[in-house]
Amino acid sequence: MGSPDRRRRAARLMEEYSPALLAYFHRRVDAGEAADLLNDTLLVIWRQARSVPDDDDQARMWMYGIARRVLATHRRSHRRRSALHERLQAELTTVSTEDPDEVRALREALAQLPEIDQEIIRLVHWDGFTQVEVARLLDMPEATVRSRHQRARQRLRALLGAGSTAVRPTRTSVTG
Amino acid sequence: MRTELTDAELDALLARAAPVLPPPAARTAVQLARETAAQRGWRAWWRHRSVRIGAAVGAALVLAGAGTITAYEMSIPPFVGLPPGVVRVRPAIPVKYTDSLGNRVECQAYMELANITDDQYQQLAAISESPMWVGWGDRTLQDLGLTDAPPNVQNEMIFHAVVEEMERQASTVIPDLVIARNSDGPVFNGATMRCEEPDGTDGQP
Repeated sequence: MGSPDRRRRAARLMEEYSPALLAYFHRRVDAGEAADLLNDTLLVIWRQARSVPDDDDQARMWMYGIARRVLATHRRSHRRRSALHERLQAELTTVSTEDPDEVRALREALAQLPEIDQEIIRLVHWDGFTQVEVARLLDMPEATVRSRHQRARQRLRALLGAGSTAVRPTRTSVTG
Repeated sequence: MRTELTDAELDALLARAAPVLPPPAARTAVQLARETAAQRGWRAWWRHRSVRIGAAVGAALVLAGAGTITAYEMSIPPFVGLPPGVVRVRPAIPVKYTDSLGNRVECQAYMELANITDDQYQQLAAISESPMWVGWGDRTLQDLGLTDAPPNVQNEMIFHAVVEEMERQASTVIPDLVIARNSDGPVFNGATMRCEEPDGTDGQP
């Protein structure tokens, strides 16, 4: 694939995945930082357009890999800020919804897990990765991810059960 | 009474607990992606360090007039002016490294000195062309333990390291060189480094 084709492909993938990447950051840092991190991630993806994998699934993993590195190394200084970037920050910070009790309890329970287990739960249940993909993203053996995921779920269940019967959710279907 | 969630109930609760992206923010994110993809792929920045030197220093070298020299220097890389009496050694020292985000950063670092002879200038220019600079940037990040540091920290520390190395190398060819202070003899006045982060495809500076 030539450079112009890779450019077009990178542009399409950036458009397609920008909301998901923003959501990824929104679930891990405060709202203001999420806009910064998306901005940085898109810049890195664009500068490395030549390296976008041909396969769509691999390209998704590649972009999330960049997002993870950006998250690991981010600093708030020396940032280019466009009008759109400022708007995005405002949109993320002004929206506030009242979470139901069971959701608050779940988030509190999640916060009690080791950081790596929290990340496995977030990647599987919030970002939609399989456990095999999580293992690749986190550079961990698949068996380790599987066992940690299972233990994390057991721990969550125990923490929520120990807290109150009020955490039982009001609907039981799994949605994306 | 204690109750435990079933697998399905836990899945549902986890799904509901995912922070929801406000729809306007999702739309703006797509616009931001389009704006980013519309950019040319180069970014350039500079780092500069110099000292003020006395009027007597380098006076003999100010032959063409400071204004002219400054205008000339501003028109060629690294596009930074010079104090009167200070010369910038060319070619630049090439400093290249891969930052912690995986981007290849390419810099040109210039020594700036006063009161040096033509022969000394040529010796300094030879330093810039030495093979020692091949891989120097990556090696330096490794040696400093900064391979995972934020890119702006890496760049700042690379600049400090290259200035130190310049001073060391320049002192070997000019034994009476003084570093960053007034003297009637040769003075290492400072350095300028201009860096670019290419996108590796079709960008232009």
